[in-house]
Amino acid sequence: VKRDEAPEILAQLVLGLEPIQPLAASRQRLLAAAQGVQRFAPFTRDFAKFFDLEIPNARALLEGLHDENGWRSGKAPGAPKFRTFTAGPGADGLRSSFARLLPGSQIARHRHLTRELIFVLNGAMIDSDGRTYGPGEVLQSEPDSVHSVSIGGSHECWVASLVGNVEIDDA
Amino acid sequence: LDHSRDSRYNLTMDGAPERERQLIERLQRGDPTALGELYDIHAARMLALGVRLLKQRKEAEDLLHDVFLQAWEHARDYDPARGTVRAWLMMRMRSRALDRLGSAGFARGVPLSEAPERADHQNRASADLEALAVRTAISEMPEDVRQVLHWTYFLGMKAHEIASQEDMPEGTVRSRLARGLAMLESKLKERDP
Repeated sequence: VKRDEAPEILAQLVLGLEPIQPLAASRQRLLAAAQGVQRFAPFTRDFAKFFDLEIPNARALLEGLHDENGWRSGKAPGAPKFRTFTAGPGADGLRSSFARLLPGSQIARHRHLTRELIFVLNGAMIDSDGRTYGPGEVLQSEPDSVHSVSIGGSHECWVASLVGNVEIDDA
Repeated sequence: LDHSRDSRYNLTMDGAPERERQLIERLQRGDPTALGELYDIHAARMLALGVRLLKQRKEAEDLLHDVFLQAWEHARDYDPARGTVRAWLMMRMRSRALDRLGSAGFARGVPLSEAPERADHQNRASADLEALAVRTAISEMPEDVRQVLHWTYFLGMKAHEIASQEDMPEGTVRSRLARGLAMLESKLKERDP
């Protein structure tokens, strides 16, 4: 990879300027945005790519997760909160949704009849092969594959997923 | 100007510092506390750059907010092989500032006195040796050399644009630029032989 030195020289020349401390309120405003409505902004482009969305649409969907009113609770006790959304044509008609999985919860061993994609936004998801998927990482399952997953750590695991039909695998 | 084959600038090419690399990795995993730490390291310099270009503190502070949010959204695009985090952030700040101003018109309007100021480094207790070396180098440069550096790196002007603006041969612009960079390099080597 060829590096452009002009930015490095600019950065050095800026050292010749007297630093100006930003207002404390400016830092607070920035972090409030990054912990609030912009929380998942670093994943906008990857989320758009995997779910075949335009960037503005992907951005709006991720920003909308901040609104608690958009989440629905599952019927069973301890079931994850979820909200559906419409993915692009590249999603092959699979069901697309966001979910908030509780720490310590598990999804029983199952066989995929179609492909599945889980994009982790927050927390940690542990696949039965032992691999842990963290924020920004994607767990993809092929048709006829079998696995189970569990939620690690002490925080909710927020995911975006493309899911088709599965069957419980009793083997 | 292409300095990519000039070994004199290797001091700027030693890669992103380890702490910043770790910060970026956390940023790329969506950790907002990493954004706060990155802000603490770079915001004061970025604001200085913004104020220098925009001439207005409030405008520059608003821009700083926008640039950090943009860096947050684009953190996963950052490639340490292409340059340091510091340079990545400074270029974003410069680019957005010049977008606001309209770079061409602004560049022509910069008077000589707006070039980097002479630093009273003798009286400044600074633990930042790199900053001190840069300030010393800039303070020792002739005015015309400092101004060419300013136009080139702060305003992103090409040598032929500066030559046209100042009605001087392009070769003169290039030689002043080379002289300024050599002085900068020399002081940085003294700091870190």
